[in-house]
Amino acid sequence: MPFNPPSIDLTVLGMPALLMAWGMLVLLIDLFTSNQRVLATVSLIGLIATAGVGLLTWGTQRTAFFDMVVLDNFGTVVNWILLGATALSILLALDYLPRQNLMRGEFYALLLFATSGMLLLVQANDLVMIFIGVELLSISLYVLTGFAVPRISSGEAAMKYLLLGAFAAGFLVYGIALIYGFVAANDAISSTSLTAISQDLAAKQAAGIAINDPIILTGLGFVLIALGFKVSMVPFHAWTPDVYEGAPTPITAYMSVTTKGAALVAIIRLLTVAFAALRPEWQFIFAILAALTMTYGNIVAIAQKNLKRMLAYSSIAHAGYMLMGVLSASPLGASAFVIYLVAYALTNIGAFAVLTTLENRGMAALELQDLRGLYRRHPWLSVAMVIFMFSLAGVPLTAGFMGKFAVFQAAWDADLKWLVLVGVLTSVISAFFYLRVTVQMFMEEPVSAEAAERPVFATAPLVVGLTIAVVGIIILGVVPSQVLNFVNNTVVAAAR
Amino acid sequence: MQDFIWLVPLLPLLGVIINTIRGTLAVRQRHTAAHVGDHGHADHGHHDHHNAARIPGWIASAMVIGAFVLTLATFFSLLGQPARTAAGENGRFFDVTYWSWMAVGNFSVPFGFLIDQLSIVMMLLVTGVGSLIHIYAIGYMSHDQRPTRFFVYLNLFIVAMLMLVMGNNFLMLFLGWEGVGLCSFLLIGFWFEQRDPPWASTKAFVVNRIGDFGLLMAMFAIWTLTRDVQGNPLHSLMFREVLAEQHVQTLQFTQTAFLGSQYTAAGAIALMLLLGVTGKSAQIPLFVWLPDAMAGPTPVSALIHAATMVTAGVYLIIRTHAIFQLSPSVMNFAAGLGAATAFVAATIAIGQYDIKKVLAFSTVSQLGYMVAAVAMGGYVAGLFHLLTHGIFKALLFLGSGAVIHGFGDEQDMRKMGGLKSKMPRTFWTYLIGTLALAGIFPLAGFWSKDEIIGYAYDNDHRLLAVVLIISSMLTAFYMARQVTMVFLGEQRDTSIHAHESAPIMIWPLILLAIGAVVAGLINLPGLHSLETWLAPVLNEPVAEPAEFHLGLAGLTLVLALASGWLGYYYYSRNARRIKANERDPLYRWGGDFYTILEDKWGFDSAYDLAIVKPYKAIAGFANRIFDARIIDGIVNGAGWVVNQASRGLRVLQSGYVRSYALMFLIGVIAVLGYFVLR
Repeated sequence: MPFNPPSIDLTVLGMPALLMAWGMLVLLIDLFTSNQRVLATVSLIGLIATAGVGLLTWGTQRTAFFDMVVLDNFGTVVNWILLGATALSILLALDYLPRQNLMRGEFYALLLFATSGMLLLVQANDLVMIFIGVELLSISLYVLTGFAVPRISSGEAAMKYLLLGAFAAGFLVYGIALIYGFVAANDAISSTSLTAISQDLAAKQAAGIAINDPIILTGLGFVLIALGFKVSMVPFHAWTPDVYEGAPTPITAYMSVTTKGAALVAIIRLLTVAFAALRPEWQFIFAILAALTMTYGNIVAIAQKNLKRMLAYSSIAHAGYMLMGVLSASPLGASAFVIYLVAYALTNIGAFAVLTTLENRGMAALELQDLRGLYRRHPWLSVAMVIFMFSLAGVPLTAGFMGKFAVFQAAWDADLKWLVLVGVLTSVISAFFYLRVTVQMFMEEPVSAEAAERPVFATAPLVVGLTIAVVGIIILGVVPSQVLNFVNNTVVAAAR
Repeated sequence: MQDFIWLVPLLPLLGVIINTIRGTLAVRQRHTAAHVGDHGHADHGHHDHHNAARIPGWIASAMVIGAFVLTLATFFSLLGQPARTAAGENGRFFDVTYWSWMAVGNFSVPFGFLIDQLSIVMMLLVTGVGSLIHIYAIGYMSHDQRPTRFFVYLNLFIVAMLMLVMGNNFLMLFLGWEGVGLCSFLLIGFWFEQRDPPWASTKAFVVNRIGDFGLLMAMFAIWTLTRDVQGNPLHSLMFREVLAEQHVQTLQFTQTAFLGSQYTAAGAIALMLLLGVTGKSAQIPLFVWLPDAMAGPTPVSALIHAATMVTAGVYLIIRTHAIFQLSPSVMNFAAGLGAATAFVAATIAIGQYDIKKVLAFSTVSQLGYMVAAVAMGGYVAGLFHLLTHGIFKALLFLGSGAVIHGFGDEQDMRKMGGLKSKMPRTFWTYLIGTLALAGIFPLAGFWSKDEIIGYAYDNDHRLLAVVLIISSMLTAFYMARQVTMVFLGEQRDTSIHAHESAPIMIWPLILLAIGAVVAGLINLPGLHSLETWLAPVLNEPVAEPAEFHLGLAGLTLVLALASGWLGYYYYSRNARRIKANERDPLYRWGGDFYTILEDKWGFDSAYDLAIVKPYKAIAGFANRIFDARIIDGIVNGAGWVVNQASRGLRVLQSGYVRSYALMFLIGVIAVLGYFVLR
């Protein structure tokens, strides 16, 4: 086979490429200055510039590099969400890092590298690109998780994440190989691009060859398991609580949102572009896993005393709700997922921001009871936290409600009524532990006089981040029509 | 008036905002002051503090009174319109849409209000009784630590309740429905320093969420199943579209499969709505939260857990009666459920010693009447009782609050007695409330209760009529027992100094007492004002007033009088047998049967055994099995860090990662097993 050099189409690769380059620029600047503010500002500018690239290429819909990367509005919207989440996380980290004595400039560069890996994953249209994207984001995240390394739990978390991540990566590669093996048996197409796979499956179906072959199903299962690991789908979630607890809080906030978002987009593309024909095979089992994820996350969260652990389990549960949208495998489901992602990004990062303000140097673990009497110490912060908790619980007039409503609606439409039932029931349960947080802040006395006097580090960047989150949640909860319509139109158009 | 309707919920919302800002600033100030070590504010006299504590109450009350005045104006402007348009349709309503709340593709729900004959009546109740209770609460909460917070919650409740009754679509109703549940949670747990309230508020919230779940599912079903005349999906949640006759009829013919069974769409939706009603309006088997909700301050019990929020379920049935009517089996089931609740709760009320618990079970019982009435199709009778009950039960609760307030915060009726002379105004107003509740001629309760019983009798629900008559006898009995134990005879615990409450608390009592006397006027037999008023919204071609059965009414009255007298006679004769911490004199007659009443028919213990304990066990079990760090007993604090540091990376070799990978592998095998073996 003659080798055709790929056409270099940097427009398609624009967002991840620019961000990657910008990360290197931040590394270079780090050589000359160790001023955190400078590095953070440069990184923020990079994020904005990358978002701007999305604006310039808006409306373009094409693939490049032998169909390996795709540029469409759906991907761009998700990229924007991921960039926004990264920016919020930088605001969280800005004063947290010096306070924890973690002043090393690579932090921001690594963050940008991880994000560019996610952007690549979002735009991946090929199994190999999915693999590259996953690894790019994972390796940066392993380092970031261990960034607070004087704290032994941080190093431990990084190590666990790395080992289990490598384990999952093995499944991903093996799954890709199996899928390729099945597809390549047809000589005409020998590519792992998602479009090629779907064409091949269609051709086989037309030729009367059974496509629910164990080989391809095993391959698909492996790939979904590996991606499910990234979104902490039960039972591949076990790393989540430990890693979220050990990682520096801004990183926990960052990865709880962005990793899930990027990996879920990859799943959406995989299921709707490549494997739509196999829908009856995968839908049921992954609906079961989604149900398990929601149930397990919400039930075990109730037993947690540690706040980060509680939010970790809650984020497992939220992955389940997002999976509901993904599994519906319809334009409605994809748009519901995007809405959920926006709501979840604002809310979860906001909640972790509140934890960040409370975390002083050397604090080993933030317990639920540390929130007691927060209302006396810092009323506005408590009000913000209440809004975040309500939004996580899905109380009406918050973004969280819109997200839940959208995914439930999508699943109901996809005839997964029993899954909606599970979703509504588990969200009923979840209200219990989210409310407990508010009760602690407003209705309990501090555990000790010392605890009542603990400082609250609500510094300017954090307040900006918190304000953005609160305003976003309320806008999306009260007057969401603009956002909903925009997302819906974009996603539905992309699905055509 | 149409242009100003949004002001009705906005005023209380404004109260919320003003009081929140005032309160938050005060907290900040106090905090800073405490930090600087300036305790100057402590020098303010007691009097100053006292007055300052009343300001949030006055702000909140003024807002609700304003909302009431606006509601009245709206009512009169509705009255000014013709009842029917030339085409014979309802002429008295405003359907206003403010903005498109959610609009995605074909899904669109506006944020808007529907003010018609039904919602205006509910709004008058909410803001009217709400105003009086707000004013009363200024006095009741004057010694409290956190009056600002209390009035913020109370105003917020009014906002949510108004959303519930004013919304023009199911999602708005749901918004209010969740909102009132949240406020109820906050207010029940208001005195969180004490032992019971936090627990009671959690219980209320969780049980209510079960009901909310039903409502949410019903909403999804309505969205997908309603069809237009051509048979295409209607995709609407608007009341006036979904419930329009030509659309709602389609629900009758659609079958829906749900979890393996076939239902008509109407039946399935009605059943899910009924679940919502059962939770919010405290029907069997979900009533268990309401008695515990009495742990909240008494004005809360009066406003939320007697007059307004708990009647939301009844409102929901009336609002969606077009759906219920299509499913007679669900209707009959609901009617039976209501009557059973009326009876069971009335018996339990006899076994209670806490002055508020008696009223709580009485409320559950009366809600049973209302649900039974509307489920039999007697919407007007149900709403009529809802209104009169809202007035006299608020009166009784506020009266009990005055008793508790003036009796050293003691709620045990066995310690009371003879309070008639100590608090005469409270006594007389309480007596009026009691007579109204017991259904004594000519007070409000007589008319409304009799209309329900008469309706049951007329519509071949004879058995239900009998159950309801028996329940009304029980009502008269337990109320006579209560009045006798509290106000008559001699004061048993003389260590408590009893005194009458301040005028600010007495005046609302007097106004409500007047209401309890005259409220029957709104739907007197022969006049049928309420019936006529509601006829267009109930889609009834002409008002068909329920016939007044003199014999039936006379019989009910005589029976109520007799059992009331019996209660009075028995407890005044046996007054010296009533002792604190000892069994009721009736125990000598009832024996173990009386114990069952005291034990509330065992509902709480059954739930504890069947749900709470297993649930806790499962959560604990899952956590122990899957959350390996907890199992290791390494928990919080500095000790943890030291421990970890000393053990170094050995943790990594102790099998955690391995066990996580094992769990991962089990998952892999399960998924692959499914693919291969399916």
